[in-house]
Amino acid sequence: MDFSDYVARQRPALMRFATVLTGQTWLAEDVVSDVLGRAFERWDRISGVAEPHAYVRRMVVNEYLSWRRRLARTSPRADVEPDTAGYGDGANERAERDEMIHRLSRLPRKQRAAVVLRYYAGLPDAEIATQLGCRVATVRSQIHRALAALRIDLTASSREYQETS
Amino acid sequence: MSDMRALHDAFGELERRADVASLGAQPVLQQPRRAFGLRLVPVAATVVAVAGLAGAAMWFAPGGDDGGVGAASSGTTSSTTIVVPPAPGWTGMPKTADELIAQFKVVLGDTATFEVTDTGSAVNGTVPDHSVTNQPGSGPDVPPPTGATSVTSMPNDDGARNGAAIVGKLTAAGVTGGFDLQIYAGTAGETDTCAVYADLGSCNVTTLPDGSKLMTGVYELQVQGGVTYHAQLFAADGRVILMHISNMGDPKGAGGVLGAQPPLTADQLTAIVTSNLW
Repeated sequence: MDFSDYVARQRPALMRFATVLTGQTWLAEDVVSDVLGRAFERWDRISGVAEPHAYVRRMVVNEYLSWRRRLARTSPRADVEPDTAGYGDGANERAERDEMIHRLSRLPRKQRAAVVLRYYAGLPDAEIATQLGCRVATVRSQIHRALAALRIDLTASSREYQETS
Repeated sequence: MSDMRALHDAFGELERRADVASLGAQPVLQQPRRAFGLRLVPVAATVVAVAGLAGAAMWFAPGGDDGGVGAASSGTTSSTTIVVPPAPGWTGMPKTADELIAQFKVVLGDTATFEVTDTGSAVNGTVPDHSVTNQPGSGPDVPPPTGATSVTSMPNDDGARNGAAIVGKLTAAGVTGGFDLQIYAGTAGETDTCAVYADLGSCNVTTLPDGSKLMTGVYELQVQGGVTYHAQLFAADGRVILMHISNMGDPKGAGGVLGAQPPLTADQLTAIVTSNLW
């Protein structure tokens, strides 16, 4: 697959992943653009790996966690407005959803990344540990703390999330 | 308490926002390919200061030599994870770029000049009424902003951190290169690890005599011949001091290659971030 084909097919999925990871569309655009710029230069190598999209997605996580992202914009572009129309049972669920997005945004980066990689991307803890450069026990500890900060009760009924690819 | 449904709904909403944003974005191939670089709002005025390395606590990474980085060799990384201790009720933390510039002048002394072209700090936000103030003897008192007063501050991941950042060019001994410098109050439990920089170059973590952690790295940039030195101090008192110096116009890889080497050696960079004059 050449680079232009990859971008045409996978950029939307990368943007969704980066937006879930960063919580902000403007930051997600920055991250994805920077990562694709770097991936372009290494495409000969990346296209030869077993799962190029997984590789590029790891680059997105690394970019989000790296020092480059500690210098934020002085004036970030306005983010996309929350969806307020035609939602489920109405105001209560929207409020709970928006509050959850707010709590996600307040998580430390590593905790947020661990939660997203497990519950959005569906990665096993061992792979998350490799991605974050820590032990599996640390991943589980990070997720435990994150879920507490997100005030999520795991004993309540739940469904598996299917990442939109 | 929420259940996982709320988390999944949050993911779904963030995906929707991504799709909306993508509708308005140009395809990446229609844009000029850009190196990863800072996209900051330039400040109206620049500051040129004559400074140098003097009076600083000169601490060098073990095994370091001029231009080297501690015991690092090309391609080596450390998996040591740094955990930031609880930040104190911060005193003396620069809350504006001007304060950071003033402190940087003191630390550098009189052997280098620097020009600030961007305040690479953060989202303008409201500092809460309980924001920190300087304690007596630590410097000029800065009254805390109150109410809706907006200040430029470094955001923590939870929006609470304070600090400042500056970006620009630094010249020493006739050699010029891009730099960025930021100081902020670390979050208790915040971690960092060389693993996230594994694709950039060499990175090492060292424990200093006072228990602080020092992360140093040498990163090869996308542009041929571009190199950036990285030094980041996770101080025992919770401060984080981070500085990059490059032989390119910008440490992130933009602005062209200005010289064969950055204007400061890796050891000089380390001495700056570990200086007791901060």
